[in-house]
Amino acid sequence: MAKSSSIDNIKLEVMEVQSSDIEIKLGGVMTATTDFSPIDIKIGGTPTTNNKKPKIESLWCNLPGNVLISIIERLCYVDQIYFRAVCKDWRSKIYGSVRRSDNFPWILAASTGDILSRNIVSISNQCYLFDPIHKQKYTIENQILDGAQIHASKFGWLLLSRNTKSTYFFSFYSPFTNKIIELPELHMELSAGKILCYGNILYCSNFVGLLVSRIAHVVGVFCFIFEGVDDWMGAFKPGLQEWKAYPYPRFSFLQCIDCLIDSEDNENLLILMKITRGTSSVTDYLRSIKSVADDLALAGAPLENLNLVMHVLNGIGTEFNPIAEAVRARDTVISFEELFDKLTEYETYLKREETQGAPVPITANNTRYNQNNNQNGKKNYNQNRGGTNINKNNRSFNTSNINTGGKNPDMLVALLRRDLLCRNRWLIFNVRTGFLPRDLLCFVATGGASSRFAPGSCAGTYSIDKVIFCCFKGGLEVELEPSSVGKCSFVSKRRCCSHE
Amino acid sequence: MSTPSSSVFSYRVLKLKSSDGEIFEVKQTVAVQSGVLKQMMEDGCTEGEIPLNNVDSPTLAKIIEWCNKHHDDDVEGRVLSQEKEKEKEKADMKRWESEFIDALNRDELYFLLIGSNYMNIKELLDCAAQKVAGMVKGKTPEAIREMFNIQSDFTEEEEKAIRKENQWAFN
Repeated sequence: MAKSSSIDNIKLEVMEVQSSDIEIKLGGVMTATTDFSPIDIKIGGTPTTNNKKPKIESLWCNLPGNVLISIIERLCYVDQIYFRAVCKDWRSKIYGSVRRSDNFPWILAASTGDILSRNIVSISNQCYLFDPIHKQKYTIENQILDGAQIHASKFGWLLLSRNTKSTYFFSFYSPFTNKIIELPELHMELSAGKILCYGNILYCSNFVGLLVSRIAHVVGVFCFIFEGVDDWMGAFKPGLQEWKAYPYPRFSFLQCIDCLIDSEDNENLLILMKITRGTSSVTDYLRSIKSVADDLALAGAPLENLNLVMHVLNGIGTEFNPIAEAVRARDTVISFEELFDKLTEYETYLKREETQGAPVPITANNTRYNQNNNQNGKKNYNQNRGGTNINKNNRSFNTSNINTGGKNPDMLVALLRRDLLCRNRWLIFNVRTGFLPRDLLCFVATGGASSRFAPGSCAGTYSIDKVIFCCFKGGLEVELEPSSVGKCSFVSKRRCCSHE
Repeated sequence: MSTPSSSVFSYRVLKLKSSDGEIFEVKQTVAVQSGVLKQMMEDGCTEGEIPLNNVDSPTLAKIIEWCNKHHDDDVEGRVLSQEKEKEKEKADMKRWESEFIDALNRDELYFLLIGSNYMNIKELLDCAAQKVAGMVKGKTPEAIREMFNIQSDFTEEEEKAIRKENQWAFN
């Protein structure tokens, strides 16, 4: 008898974990089962040999939560939404952040081809969501889109602004869930395409003209950095409902931003933040990253393993591309320790190759810009052996950090639901923040096929002004006309490249 | 009470009792694929019959078939040294797995899901979940309900609210 009870114990434990943090959002829709509670499904009582009974089939809604999650993780986003809408039981048992079988970002397209101003994404209350994988177009409708400017996108949220004269209304809008989080109004003046801020809301009334140069999401706080005033930073915390100005702690805080900001081509910030390997050994490099990560954890902003791994890969340098790609292609995240072993092993291998005089493959050069562009202001020329530097195209590329970071409890549920920025294999490269002033968005697809770039990679830009995709492949610029997509706001998709 | 030792491990046989009272004999080396049975073996409480109250005999037979197949493959995999043969072996296994899963009817699939979850056999659960995902793919909630004969227990308002939450997907 002891044996049977041990099984029961195990089972019960699993059940308890599941029910402990059921999503609040569903408003306590727990178990509205008809005949069976999820724990004691008595399969044994019903003979399976008799399959004609329709009653047995309705058992399906009694599937245990972890089985359901195991199924739903294999579905794409839209199918997941349908799956959760089948019955109460399923809905209540599927909660939290559910992984999707595809991690590809979607495209937000405007409903009209007319472009009033390059910043205004929509002039009506309609936009389209475009799923590049399944080539499906969905209409989203919300009044908030009318005349709105989009400043950034992250975690499935858009930062929008609308203005009446000099008063700006910023809000976060999730096109997927149609949720809106309004921010307090901000008084600013728009002049010559620049947003100038004034007023004491930002607690920096002594600065008359402030140009918002970046918006970042740092550990649950949305930060606005003002150009020209290096020492101040405006911040908004959704939970506190107020704007705040912070002095700009140059060293300690910057490390933090590195993990969470969409990095861009403004050296001021990135100079100090980016840790890249440079010429140091892999062991030293990994140690320095680990120590920063430990510091962050001590400061209450721990990096997730995924982020940590991505940081390591972003800064490691192109020689390690084979490893980096293999790691990115994994479904499960590699542990830091495992990565450590793999990288050090590979370094030894590289060294041996080098002493044997093996030629360094020329393909290893061209994506260098994406790895180290921002490191400490100086480019790592020693790694940049020949090849075309993408900067020749007068565009600078930057790594957008791939992270799920900054989980603010206030926004957690929605933020987790969908991640517009890519993870795993895809990197988005921005010329400027998201689609801040220049509206140019660049991307690099590490899974495409290109000979001149690092194996299986190509890069491109997207201009909202011109509605044109440009792909760089072998240093050539190829223009693509996206037919089904109107005006895109964010793109990063292998298909853009493979259209060539 | 005997303590589990690796030397006798492979020769021992577990007696699994399904919910309808049928006894199945399974080698320990095969049974380790089940997380629950593995734990029990480690705890040394596998004497006598092990009742599996949530698994009936047809399902248990299926599960054991799966485990046997995968166990055999493991042994061969160790013997095979050629990379190519390993690849082939893998492909064969994939084919066998899909045939195994495809041969099930909807009820059998359900009980297999429950059983593999109960016995904590991850690979089997993954395979079955993949099958269900394939069945569900591209189907609307109504179609899914029809397929699994599930009655919608949402009220009209709830249904509306759900649709509103992701309005774009339902247009």
